[in-house]
Amino acid sequence: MLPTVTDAVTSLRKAFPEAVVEVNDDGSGGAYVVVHPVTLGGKFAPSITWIGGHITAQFPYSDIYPIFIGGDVRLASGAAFVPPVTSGHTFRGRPALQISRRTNRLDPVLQSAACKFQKVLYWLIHQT
Amino acid sequence: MNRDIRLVFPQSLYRRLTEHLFPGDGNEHAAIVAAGLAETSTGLRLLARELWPASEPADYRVGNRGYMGLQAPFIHRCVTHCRDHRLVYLAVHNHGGSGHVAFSDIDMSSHQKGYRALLDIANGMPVGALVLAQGAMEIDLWHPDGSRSALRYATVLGPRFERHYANPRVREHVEHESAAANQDFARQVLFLGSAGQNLFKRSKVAVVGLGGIGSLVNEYLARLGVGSLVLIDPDRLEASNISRVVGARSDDLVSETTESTLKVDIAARVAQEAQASMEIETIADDFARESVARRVLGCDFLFLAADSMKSRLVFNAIVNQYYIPGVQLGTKVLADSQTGNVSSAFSVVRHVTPGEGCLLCNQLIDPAKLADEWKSDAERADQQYGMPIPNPSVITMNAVAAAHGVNDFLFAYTGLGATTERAPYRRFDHLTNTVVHEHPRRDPRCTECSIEGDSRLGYGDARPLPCSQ
Repeated sequence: MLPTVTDAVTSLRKAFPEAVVEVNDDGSGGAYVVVHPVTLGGKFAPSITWIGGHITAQFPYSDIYPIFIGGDVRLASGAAFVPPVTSGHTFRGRPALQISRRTNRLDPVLQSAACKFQKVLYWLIHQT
Repeated sequence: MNRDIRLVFPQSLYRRLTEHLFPGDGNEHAAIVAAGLAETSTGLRLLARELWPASEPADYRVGNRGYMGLQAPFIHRCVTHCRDHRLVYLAVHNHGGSGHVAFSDIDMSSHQKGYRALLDIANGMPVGALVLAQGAMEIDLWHPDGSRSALRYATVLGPRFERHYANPRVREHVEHESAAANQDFARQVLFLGSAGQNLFKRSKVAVVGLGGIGSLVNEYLARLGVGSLVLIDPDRLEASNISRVVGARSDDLVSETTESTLKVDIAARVAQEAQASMEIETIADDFARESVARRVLGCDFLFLAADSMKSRLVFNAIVNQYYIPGVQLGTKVLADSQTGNVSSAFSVVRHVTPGEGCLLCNQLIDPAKLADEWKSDAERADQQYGMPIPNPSVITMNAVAAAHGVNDFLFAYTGLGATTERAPYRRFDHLTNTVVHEHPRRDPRCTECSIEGDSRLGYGDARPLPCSQ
């Protein structure tokens, strides 16, 4: 993995100190990462899942997009997810919900994998 | 001493340096330049990145022996900065006269006294001196291994490239060491002169993307007499390419016994037919891979005719990090998805000059598209982004971008262009038959082209490129 990608993985480990961060080299210097467990809260069932994405070789210029969480996650209210949350996907062989939230006005200096994952989780928990 | 150093200045830094050294008082002045170092296939290059004018008398004054000299605290501050940032320390001063310059005996004596100690401080980086007269400059570069080098020539990257030599004899030697077979280009020589034609013969140019636009650029460069081409494209010809890839033939397409011809091989064939003696390097691989990108670092100019964000990012980084100017070329046709009516058809020519605003500053490198380009087809299908829809492409619109890009290169590279600033971006709207000229914005915090913070500008080999393994 390239140093920029290794640093991104490190940022995830620091941001999610209670979680396991699984890393799989993508063969080009980037990595597929899965962080588990992450807590979504009572609004979701199950309330605990995983979150993952592809940190490409050209990170931090490249967005981490889309982001994925467990495919079995539902809204506890029974309401359906609407785009940008879509179902029926897979990520690294795991059934997944896809969250298509791109970072607008991405700043490669400020861009961090931890920030991306946390922003998407925050949006999911508070906006859906 | 080998005369093997090329020194490259962004025009803005060169102007600030000459304004400081030649304020019109006829006196000697001094400065320190911190330069990036690039070891390339065509030799060692110094990339002038930072300038510290020496104030007088605090930083530069008459010393004990009666001669002007830089003061130790100023030197120490600058050389330790260079050491810490892996830059080359160059002490600069000026002499009188014009057209030729050399270090005096006093200058050389002071180098002998002081530069071994500076090399110790510089911790593996070369140190040296630069002397300027009007229209001339010379370097005395000290390498960590004890060898020394002089200046081959310096280039100032502006609307037209200025070249400076130590003296006319050096200029004569460099300009005629590969004299062109001018009979082949007799009609061009009437315009360019022998010196201009020889400049092309000595040049090395990369073309990234050998599709509709790149194949035209390749032919134009070969017929202009460019001496060496680096051609990069991973793809093979497809049937839909025949209408616009110059030199493509029906027997280049796949058959029962053979694969389609690589686009780089078609381009090489075209170039060779135009100019049998030229050197051609073909690379059928992804420009975003580090091993491929590094093969253009010895070039004098880059043409980006590939339509991927990955390539744009690497091209933009190389221009700014290695001071190799380039131009991004493209065409786009947009149609209304409902009616199919063409709503937009344009060609673009975007010059990228180190430190002058770049593709990243101008939001021409889309982070989401970058992420998408690294997906496999299976991932793209699973994520329901679908297969990329090909952009309509027509040879005549491609030719507008290609011809203007190469023509701009011709005038800038030979110094025949105007000295006034031109708008680096041009958009040719084919529906309205208008041309829009744009000056790119410059983000003062840009990671690629600004002098602020931790940008890659002018760092040469001291920074990695944003490439894949």
